[in-house]
Amino acid sequence: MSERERLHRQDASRTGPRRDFSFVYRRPAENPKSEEHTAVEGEQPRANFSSPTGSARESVELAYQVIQKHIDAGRRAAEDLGENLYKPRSASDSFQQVLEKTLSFQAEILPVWLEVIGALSKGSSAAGAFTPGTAADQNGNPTAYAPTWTVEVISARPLEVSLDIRPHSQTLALATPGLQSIDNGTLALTAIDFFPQHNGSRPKVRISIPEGQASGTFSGVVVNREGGEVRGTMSVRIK
Amino acid sequence: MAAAFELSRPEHKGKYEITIYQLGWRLGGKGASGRGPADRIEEHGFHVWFGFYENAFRLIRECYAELGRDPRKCRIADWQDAFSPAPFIGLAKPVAKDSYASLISYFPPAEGMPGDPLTEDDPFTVTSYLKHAANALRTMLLTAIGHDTTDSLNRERVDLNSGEQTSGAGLYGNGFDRLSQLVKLGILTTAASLIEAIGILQAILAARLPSAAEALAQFVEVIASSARRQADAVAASDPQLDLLWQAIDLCVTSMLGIVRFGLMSDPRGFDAINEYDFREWLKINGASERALDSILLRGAYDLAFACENGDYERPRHAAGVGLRGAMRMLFGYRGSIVWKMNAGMGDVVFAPFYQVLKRRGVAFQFFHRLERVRLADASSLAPGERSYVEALEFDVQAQVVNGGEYEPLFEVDGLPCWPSGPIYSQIRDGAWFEHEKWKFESHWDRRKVGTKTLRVIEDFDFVILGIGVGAIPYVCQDLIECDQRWRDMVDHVKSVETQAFQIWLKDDLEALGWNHPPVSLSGFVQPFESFADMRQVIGAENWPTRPGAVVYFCSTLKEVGSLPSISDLTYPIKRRTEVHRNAVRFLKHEIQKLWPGAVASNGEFRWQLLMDPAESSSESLGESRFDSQFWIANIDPTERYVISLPGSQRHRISPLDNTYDNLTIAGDWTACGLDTGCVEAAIISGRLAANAIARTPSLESIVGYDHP
Repeated sequence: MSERERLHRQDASRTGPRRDFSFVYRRPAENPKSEEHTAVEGEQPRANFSSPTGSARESVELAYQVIQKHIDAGRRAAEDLGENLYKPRSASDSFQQVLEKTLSFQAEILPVWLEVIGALSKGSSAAGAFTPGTAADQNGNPTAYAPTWTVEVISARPLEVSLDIRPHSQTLALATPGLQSIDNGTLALTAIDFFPQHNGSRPKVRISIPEGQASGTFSGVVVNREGGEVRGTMSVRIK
Repeated sequence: MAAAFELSRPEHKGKYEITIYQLGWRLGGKGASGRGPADRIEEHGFHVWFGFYENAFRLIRECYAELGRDPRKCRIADWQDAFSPAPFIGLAKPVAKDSYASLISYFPPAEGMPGDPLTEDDPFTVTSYLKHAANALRTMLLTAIGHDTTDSLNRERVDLNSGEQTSGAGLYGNGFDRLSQLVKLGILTTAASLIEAIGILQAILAARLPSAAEALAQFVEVIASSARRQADAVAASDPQLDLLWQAIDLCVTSMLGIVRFGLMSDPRGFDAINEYDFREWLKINGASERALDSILLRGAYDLAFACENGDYERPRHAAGVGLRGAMRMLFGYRGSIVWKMNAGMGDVVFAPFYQVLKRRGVAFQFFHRLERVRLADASSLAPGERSYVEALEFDVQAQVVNGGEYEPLFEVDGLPCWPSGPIYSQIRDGAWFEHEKWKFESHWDRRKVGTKTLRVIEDFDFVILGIGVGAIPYVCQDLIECDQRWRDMVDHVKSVETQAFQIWLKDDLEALGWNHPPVSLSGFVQPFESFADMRQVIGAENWPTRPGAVVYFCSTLKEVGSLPSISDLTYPIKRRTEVHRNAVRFLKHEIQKLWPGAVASNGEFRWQLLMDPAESSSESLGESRFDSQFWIANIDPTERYVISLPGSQRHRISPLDNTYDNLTIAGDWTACGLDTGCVEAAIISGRLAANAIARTPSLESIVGYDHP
């Protein structure tokens, strides 16, 4: 019989997986890389996003990627329609109806989508998620007086909208003379309408992107119609 | 094997002296394979590796890299020689009485390869899920319009001129009709994409803002119901879109359910719904009856052998396990959604592991049947001392000639393989054993030549118990008697018997009317609802005349009552006879629904299609010719397939559990995070067992362990 003592196993730091959903979304850079990393029971999952505005922005971008894929697929189908054997009569009424229905569906759903983003941003502003037009302190936290703007977009293409409006502008009749691109010759964006806060509703800006609009970043000032003074800036990046 | 692989890594510098005790002559349990006559491969069923098996692929890739086989001498020298992408998954859809259409889906390749280091293409990120979701939807679109998906995906354009049809079902015609379909499908897929994107957005935000979950759920429901109305209208006007709509319905319902049940913020993740049956949970969340009865869901259940007691009238699968499996399978794969092995699973998986482990100094003791895991007497424990395994008792089934070590492999064209029986020449009195027909792997053949007892400290310090769950009641009586958790595990974590057969055909499948790419298909008729075209292994066998096709079939085997006793020596014979009868009946009456060319003009199955490895001695052209094929009843406790019944997950025990401080467990039946019967679960479990002993690999490096 050996005099050696029996060996013992140490208790594991945990005996089950962390099921917190947020771990699905961690980026590789946020994954523990070290083999030596040992989790601590009850340790809170680390934040997944580097900035308080990151979650909504990233989500919008990701959602756009998916939408864009399907719009692209539709576009390719349309191109095939032109390239292949289909004669003019093929574009029959019934097909036209279906096509219009598709486009109409997309035109309807995209503004709704942006509306949702705005609503979610409002709902999550306390936690620092993205809120268009919200001023922020040095730590990135929204300040108390910042109104929430709804951004409505009518576009078949993904956009990135940046809106920087001064405080106390939400009740004013705002307008923009047009957003310009630094590329000469590119048409300016002019179909932009502001709707002031009214009876408790949120102020809103509607952006319509015409078909055939070139990609790029368009920027400009936002002014008060009545006095003409600058109340903020706005930029739209069309992908 | 995974635990041994981890603990024997060179980084440990030989800290762990490892010995593996194995029943019979080969490694692998229910994944073991052997070579029979004509060096044909004989499996326990058909095994595929899904593209989300990150841990399994990581280890097997490391194994092949370390093995360093010479490709000039061995046809399977690298992991990519061992596995082939299998992007086609099929479902059999009943279209009329006794008539089936096969719906074959092509899943496009995903970036990276399984087992690659995780980078920006980490399959467990939102980006990756969305990317894969978009691919999957597009696949459904392309498949539904009857397009040659392989070609189209290569060209990345939809060829509207193509006149090809899906699966001979003729779902769509050419030209303008097809274009209309495309556009209509575009509506569906766009809606589904939006819903999916919205759902994920909700998940992200709700995970950080639980208070907003209710409002978000309401919103998702509004969007989902709106999309459903649109899609319903389209599907109603075009019944052929039904399947696609069912898929989208299930997708939408799952997203809704995730939000409604608050799974994004629930610390239990998807486990929070494991008390529900998957179908029941989908129904609660509004899935249509059409979707609930769809072949999609039935195929998913088939894939997991998810029926209680092997009875297809009692389909049951824990909802959380099902949801997790679906997400990872569809949205978490890299390379191909499915990978098929280019030889037997024993040849391409267990032989390389065996060789590497041997090289690292791991010892193997074959022909050892574990009889009892003996706990220390409670009265002998010091105050505060945990219980532990005092001894392991084995029956020794055979002795090796001259007391040497059994060398279990032999070569087939330079490839180390496992035989389908022992290499008798290495066994003392081998000729006698062969004559007496000892069945070394049979639970009912208890013959032995001796016993062996291993004692703690003297013979071992730690034990990793890696046998199948079905064997636990027989070898762990000490634990079951003294530990309520082990009793609960045995009572609730159920397993089923399975059956399988393989046929080798003279003609190729195209000649039989099956004009599809190599596919794994589910949802066909009982008793063999799943089969796989295994043409890729033909070259690994040694037939005088090359077979035209090799096809594997498998399913559960309905249980006949309580488990038979060890003394019922007729049980294995009865069950094997039953599988034979099932297979013959299946070939006679069912297979013609998919392979019309397999029957003669009189409606009889053409038995002469079957290749007999002993052709010169076979004169039979009738039904008895099936006797030359391979069939198996997987009824031994170690071969049983663990299932995931609702409510059973909480009774699983983790390999990390330290109740017995020199014992850990490993296998797909443990609480390993995936909690479903598959190779990946077994590998994760083995890695967890290694962590329990050595603290490596870290839990964070076990891919997907922390998945919701």
